[in-house]
Amino acid sequence: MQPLWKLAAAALIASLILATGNALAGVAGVCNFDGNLSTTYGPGGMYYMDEDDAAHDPPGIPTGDSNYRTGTPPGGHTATRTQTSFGSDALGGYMTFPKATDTWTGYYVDHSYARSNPPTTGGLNRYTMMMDLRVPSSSFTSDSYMSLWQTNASNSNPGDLFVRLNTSNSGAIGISTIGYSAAGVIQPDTWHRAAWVYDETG
Amino acid sequence: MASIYVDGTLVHQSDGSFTGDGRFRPYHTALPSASTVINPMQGFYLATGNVLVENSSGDLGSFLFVDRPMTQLEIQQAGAPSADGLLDATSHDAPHAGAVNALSPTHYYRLNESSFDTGSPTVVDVGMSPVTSQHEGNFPPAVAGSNGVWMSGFEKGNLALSHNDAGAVDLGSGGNFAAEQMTFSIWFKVKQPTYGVGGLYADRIFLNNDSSHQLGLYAWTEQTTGDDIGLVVSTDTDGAHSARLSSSVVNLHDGGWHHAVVLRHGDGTVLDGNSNPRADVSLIGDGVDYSSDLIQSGSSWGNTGTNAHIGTRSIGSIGNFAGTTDEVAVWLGDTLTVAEAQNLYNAARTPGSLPTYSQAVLDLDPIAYYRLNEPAGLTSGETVVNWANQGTTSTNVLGDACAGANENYPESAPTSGVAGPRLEDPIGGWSVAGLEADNTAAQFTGLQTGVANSADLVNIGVQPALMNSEDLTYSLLFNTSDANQYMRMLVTDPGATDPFCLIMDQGHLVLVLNGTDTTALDTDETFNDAQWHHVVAIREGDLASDMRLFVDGESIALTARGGGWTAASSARIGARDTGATGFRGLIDEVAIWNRALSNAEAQGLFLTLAVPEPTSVILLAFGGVLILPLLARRRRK
Repeated sequence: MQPLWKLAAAALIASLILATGNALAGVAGVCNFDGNLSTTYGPGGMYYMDEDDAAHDPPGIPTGDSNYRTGTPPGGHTATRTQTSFGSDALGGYMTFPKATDTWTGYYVDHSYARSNPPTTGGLNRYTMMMDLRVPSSSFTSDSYMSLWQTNASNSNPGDLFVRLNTSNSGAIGISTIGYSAAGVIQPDTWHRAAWVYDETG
Repeated sequence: MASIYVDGTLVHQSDGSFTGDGRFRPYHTALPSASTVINPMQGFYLATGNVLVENSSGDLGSFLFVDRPMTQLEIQQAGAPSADGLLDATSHDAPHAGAVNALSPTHYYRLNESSFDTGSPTVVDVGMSPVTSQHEGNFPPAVAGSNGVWMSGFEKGNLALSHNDAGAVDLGSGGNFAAEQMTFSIWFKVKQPTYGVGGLYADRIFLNNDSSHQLGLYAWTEQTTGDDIGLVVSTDTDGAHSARLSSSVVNLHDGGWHHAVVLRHGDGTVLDGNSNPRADVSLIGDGVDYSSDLIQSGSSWGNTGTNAHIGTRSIGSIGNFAGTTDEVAVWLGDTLTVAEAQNLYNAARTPGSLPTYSQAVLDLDPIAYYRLNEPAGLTSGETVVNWANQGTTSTNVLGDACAGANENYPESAPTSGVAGPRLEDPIGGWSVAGLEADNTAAQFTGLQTGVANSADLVNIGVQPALMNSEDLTYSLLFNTSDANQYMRMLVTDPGATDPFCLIMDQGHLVLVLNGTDTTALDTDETFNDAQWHHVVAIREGDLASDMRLFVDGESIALTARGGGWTAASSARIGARDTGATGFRGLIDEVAIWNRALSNAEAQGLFLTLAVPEPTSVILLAFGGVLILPLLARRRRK
């Protein structure tokens, strides 16, 4: 019979809890930025886009679309943005995005969804967005705003959600249309889990 | 309504409407003007540049997009960033709720409200198109927040709504719950003869009350005798559109939880001219497709043409449900497949997560594993889950057990939800690390003074054939300070071919075959020291000498003593019957195998349960020799 102490050594390395994942209703896309932009769940996708690089046209955009890639974007900025880099820390993989120096760079998210009730006209009017976000202190020093997302297809306005940086109410999140949170909600060099929920029907 | 959260806290909210170009409304298909820019488009942009160059550099750790407004509770539960991705952080559903959500129900009422509330909305709809719903009726006797369905696929603490013939949920306009093609699923519990006796109408478990596309599920009792008639499904107000699943086919009114999924395929009659089921309705009960067993209901079933309800047709007048409901989901314009309906039931019987010890038990393929972690409030006659039969189609497992002897002896149910063995509990020089931090057990009180038939027990069943084996193994955890004689911990039916009993007698553990060889064996040492102990009792043959015992991972010497022990009238945990000889103490994690575990398996079980306490861990780190004295003090054989 095996002495208990020999068997105990093996027991010390046993994991304590076995867990299984479960579904979350309505997930259209998840990206964990583990070295790439692949979505790990749901039908949606995420893509890097760059107005000066045909290889990074978002899907569904005709190559050479004059209004998208080679034309004069609203704002007229022409410099090429350095592409995304990836890293990891105790919280797992993450993506670093540099400051855009022209308009048509960023990340296109295809929100294709399956079984829910898509709107027949106009825009998607019920949804939840959530992201783990870290704003470096250098951004708080050098820039006025961080643009988090944009729903305007022509990118002809500043965006839909911002973090206020080197300006009044630093660290507030929101947009003038709906107002901002209190200052200091977003702290420099700190991971935050930001979520915004929109329900035009309720 | 736009709401912004940071680290689970609501930091800003606006109830304005934003219908302009962009501004929180990502375009779905065509843009207002195809020539504007991108066409077609089904997306939006993150961290993009913009006309004012108002952007900056930063890091994104995870991104999640959900095409519905998540509830404030869901956002709060997601909390702050962690090593878990956002999907894990936001997926708190146990397997059953996860399976429902994965099918994107139009409406989904978990009925987890903890109290009756007249506020609005009071009953939460977490479906894709939520509507305002509220309690109605008299609370009490109706109870919001009663114990919900308890199977391995539900979260501990799941709640339900006990209608008790007095309360219901008003779901609002029936039109929001009606379509020619639709499905609803519901868990319900009814106990004869407490509902419907003498009443003129069947109890409405669910009814959409819609005049165009009626759909409802009713529990029907004979008006004067209280005899159970069965379940009725109606798709219209006349008998041609109403079908019944007779209780002679399956008894779903036995006091336990049952699952029904009703599929409405069309507006036609549900039976043909020969009373054969047509394709316009399907009924799946507890994962079994009973559609071909449906017969003419023999009555017509009205509706009010107004609001849909859970638990009534019209509160205070017609069809109040006397039972309990839980987890009501509705799909409009979509009939689930039979396989999808069955999967909902299977998910309810699929463990979402298991602690190390429980997984180790199941890995050894027991025929029964009663974790005894039922929520507080278990009453006699209710189900005690056999985790060995969850998530499997194996026939080499016992069914679920029953708390108490039966409904006739209400005092005989053990007390559930009591603190069980946990990390802080020592077992010799070991700590219980293989069970949940909030693990619970069952408390058995034995025969209470002046209360007949009050000895607590869990009834496994009369002579389970799977336990008629020369080779049997029991394992369990117990904790007692009681010094009474003849306390039964786990016993078989005397009618069994090969009985096997684990008994505590004045603190000594006793093993009894009570068959060909009636010699009993007991331990020299006592174990009624008010500490948790892990015991594995094994019989591997017909003779007393074929029995082995392990306590806390150690083989224990046994001494012969007198036989003649009376067993039980069925296989039971905690008592022989409702009279004397009931165990007084705590029991947890009872497992049964119809084979003899090897010594290594018996020891291995303990090692998945417990780890050496910190001082022992240090000794192990310096070499096994140093720990031998620690273990030697418990070596007895």
